[in-house]
Amino acid sequence: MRVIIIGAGKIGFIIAKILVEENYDVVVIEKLEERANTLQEYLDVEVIVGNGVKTSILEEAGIREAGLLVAVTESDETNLIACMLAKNFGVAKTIAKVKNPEYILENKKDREMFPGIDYMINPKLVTAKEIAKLIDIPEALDVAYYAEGKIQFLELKIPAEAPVANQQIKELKFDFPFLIAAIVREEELIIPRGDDFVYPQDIIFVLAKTVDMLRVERFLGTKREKAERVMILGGGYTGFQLAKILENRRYAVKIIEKDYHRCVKIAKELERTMVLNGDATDINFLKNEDTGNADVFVCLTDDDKLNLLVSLIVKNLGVKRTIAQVGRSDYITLMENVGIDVGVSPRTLTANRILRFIYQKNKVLSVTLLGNEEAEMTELLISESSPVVNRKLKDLNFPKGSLIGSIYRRNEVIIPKGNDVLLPGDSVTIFALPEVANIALKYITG
Amino acid sequence: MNYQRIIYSLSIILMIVGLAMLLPLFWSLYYDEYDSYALALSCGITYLIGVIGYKKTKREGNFLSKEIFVIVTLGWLLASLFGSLPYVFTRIFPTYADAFFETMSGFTTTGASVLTDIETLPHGLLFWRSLTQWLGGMGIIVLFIALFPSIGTGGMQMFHAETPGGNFVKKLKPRISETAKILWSIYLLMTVTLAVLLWLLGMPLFDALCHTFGTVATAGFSTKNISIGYYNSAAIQWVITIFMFLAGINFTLYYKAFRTKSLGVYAHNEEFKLYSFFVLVAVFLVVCSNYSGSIATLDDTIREATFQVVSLLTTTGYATVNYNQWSYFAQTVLVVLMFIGGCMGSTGSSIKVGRILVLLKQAKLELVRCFHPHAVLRLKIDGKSIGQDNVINILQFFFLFLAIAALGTMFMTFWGFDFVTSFTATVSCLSNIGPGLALVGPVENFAFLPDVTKYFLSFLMLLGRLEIYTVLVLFLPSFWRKG
Repeated sequence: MRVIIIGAGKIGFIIAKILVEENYDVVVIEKLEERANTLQEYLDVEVIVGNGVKTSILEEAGIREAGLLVAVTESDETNLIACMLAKNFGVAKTIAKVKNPEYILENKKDREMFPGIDYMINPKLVTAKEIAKLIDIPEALDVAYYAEGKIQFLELKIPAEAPVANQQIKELKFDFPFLIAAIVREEELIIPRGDDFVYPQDIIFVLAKTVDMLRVERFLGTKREKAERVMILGGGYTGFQLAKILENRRYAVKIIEKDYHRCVKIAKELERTMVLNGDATDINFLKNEDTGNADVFVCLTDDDKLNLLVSLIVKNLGVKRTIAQVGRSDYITLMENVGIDVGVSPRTLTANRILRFIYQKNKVLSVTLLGNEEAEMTELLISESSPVVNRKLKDLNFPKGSLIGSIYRRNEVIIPKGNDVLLPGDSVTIFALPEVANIALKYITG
Repeated sequence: MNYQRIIYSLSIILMIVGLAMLLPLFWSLYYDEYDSYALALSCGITYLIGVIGYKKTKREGNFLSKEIFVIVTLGWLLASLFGSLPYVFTRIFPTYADAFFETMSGFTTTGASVLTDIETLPHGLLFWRSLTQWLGGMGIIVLFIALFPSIGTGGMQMFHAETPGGNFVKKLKPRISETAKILWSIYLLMTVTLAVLLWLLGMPLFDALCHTFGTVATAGFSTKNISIGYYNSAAIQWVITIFMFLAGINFTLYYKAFRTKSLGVYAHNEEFKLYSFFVLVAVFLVVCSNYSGSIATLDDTIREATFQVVSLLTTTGYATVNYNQWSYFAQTVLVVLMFIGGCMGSTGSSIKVGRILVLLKQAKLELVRCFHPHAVLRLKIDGKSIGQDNVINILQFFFLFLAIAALGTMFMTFWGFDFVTSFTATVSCLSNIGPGLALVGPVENFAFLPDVTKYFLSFLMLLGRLEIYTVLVLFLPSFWRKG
């Protein structure tokens, strides 16, 4: 299928990269020649220099054959107009990135009034929602849900004192089923076998039923106390949305914002959150607000350096956990090394969400990128015609570097063992390294 | 200031008052009593003066803010002056001060009376006395706006200047005259329902109507010397208790509940919840205080406590027992209630539950600010932020209310009355309740007061009914300066 991506920023780049690996025909339209050239160098895509709302450019990109258009430029209006044009050209699915929250169509009725766009995505809202998930499960570096929320997938760090440290995976016996789907050790991703070991400081990806996850985490020794007090730096749209989500979940939230008028504006909208007007680099101000006793401190300013600095200050004051928004995702590892617990890149998150939506209607239910895009988690529906139907898992010749993480059958979740059988109508999560992801999917869908 | 416009509006108000006198005239003719000529004469004079003023003046251009305050305040004053004519012509009262006091007490829904023996009055006068309360309950000006939509943008400001709760009562329809019509319709519906209920419970139709007027307007004039106690019926007392409570709720909520076909609006209205909370707590306290060592049954104690509590909280002022004989604690609970009043946009007066709610919330915010000096705090009611200027308006209202109560008490004690009488009479009139404690208790009346204090208390009633600002603004010298 032909896919047109408008805008070759970070988001466009990630989406193009993944889609190329999945064998889509990708055409990217980019206004800036410089960026277009960079893209051309790295990816096997067609790049057209020009404005994505010009019909002649769109025709040149082959809009008439395209099945999908993703508009992710910096300009909301360009994105929205491009999508509407694409719909008129007969493109089946359109996705627009929209920064201005006022444009976001919240309910189905609104969307029917605006038929040109199938999916609107707001990077700030996505970021706020993802951070809220991280705060809900404080030990997790990443959280994802599958099978309508019945399966939880966590990225966890093994502490030195954990009972499972230095043990072989096949020795880990527990009443509730779980699966260690991957291990990241020294920045390298391993799909583990039974005889592999789990070491302290390993980052593991664990899959289990959502209801069992708490017990599984205790067994692994990774469970932490639930957070109660959250402080947010930056009262922009992301911070405001995060505060709104958290106060609804009964956290005690404080939000620090420098601009007084912005403070007044968000104080009007928020119910229980305390809005503080001040400068977060002023240590006395932070001390007076008892920052040291906060469970989580989230830095959401647009300035990476400020986020890093304040994270370090509050860590020093005694905050248990810091989460910082990082504009340049390549710095995340670096920032996590110097003391920030979790770095979050809005662009990566947005790309992630868009990909999930793209996969949704092609039998694949959803996809999540793990770590630094080193592996994918895909949710897939098993059809009647699939060659794997009615065969025991241990008899299947599944490609190396991939595995079936869970089976969702008639509202029930199964963490599979070798003797389990796949049936038509099952929804399965497949975990795979990018180079084998496609082979694994093909193997299942036939 | 354009005097043509002012006289034009005041004339319409007089016409309304004049026409309203036809109703008691009907009762007077029906009973064939001596007051019919007085009522007919008052009706003629009032209506005629109204018509002359209306014909001779022209309403040009838009109202200035100043004119609004003059119209509303003078409108109420004129209504009381002309409304007292039937009493004057029948020579019921020894002095004019009495007649004026009784009329102002009616229009402002205070219900404080200078009559020593109510039952000797002819039916026409009794009906007029009750009707003044009904007109004043929802407001003469609101009626004027409902009947004369052509008043235009000035109507909006007049509405705010008169309605209890003022700016805080939201319009129900884009046009203010439509809103006024809806409010009067709800009021009318409530009136008819209660009148029928009382009539079914055995009150004569005449009494039922008069007591309905006193109840839905939260006013408190009765046609009997011992008020509702006369009927000695538990059912009647409960029905009146319920309707006093209903009349103390923001009328716009009824419309919203009707539109949404659900009672959800009440569950989400903080003012209503606080109002109900006050009733429950006060009833509980009074029952506790009265039941211990009493020979009355628990049923009676609860009914009596609920009736007095709701009556004083909604600023009605009906009584079924002489609470002058209650314990000091129970009396103090009632006095505290006098300072609270009904909800905004109801027929109740006093400070209003909505203002108390803002005061309480602001108090909490100020406490939080003590230890979070950098916090940016916004006061919210029903999830909506209340502007700082509105908060200050309410704080200032509270101050003025207390200051006037204090000065009023001082004025009353100057004439030689004891503190409890002076204080409760002042607060009772300022809150448009009616009875107070001691010499002005529920089974007493205001007849013994010197004339000057009667005029003074009448003025307090007007201040209270128009929520202080509307009247007080006329006393500012700069208000009258040109340019």
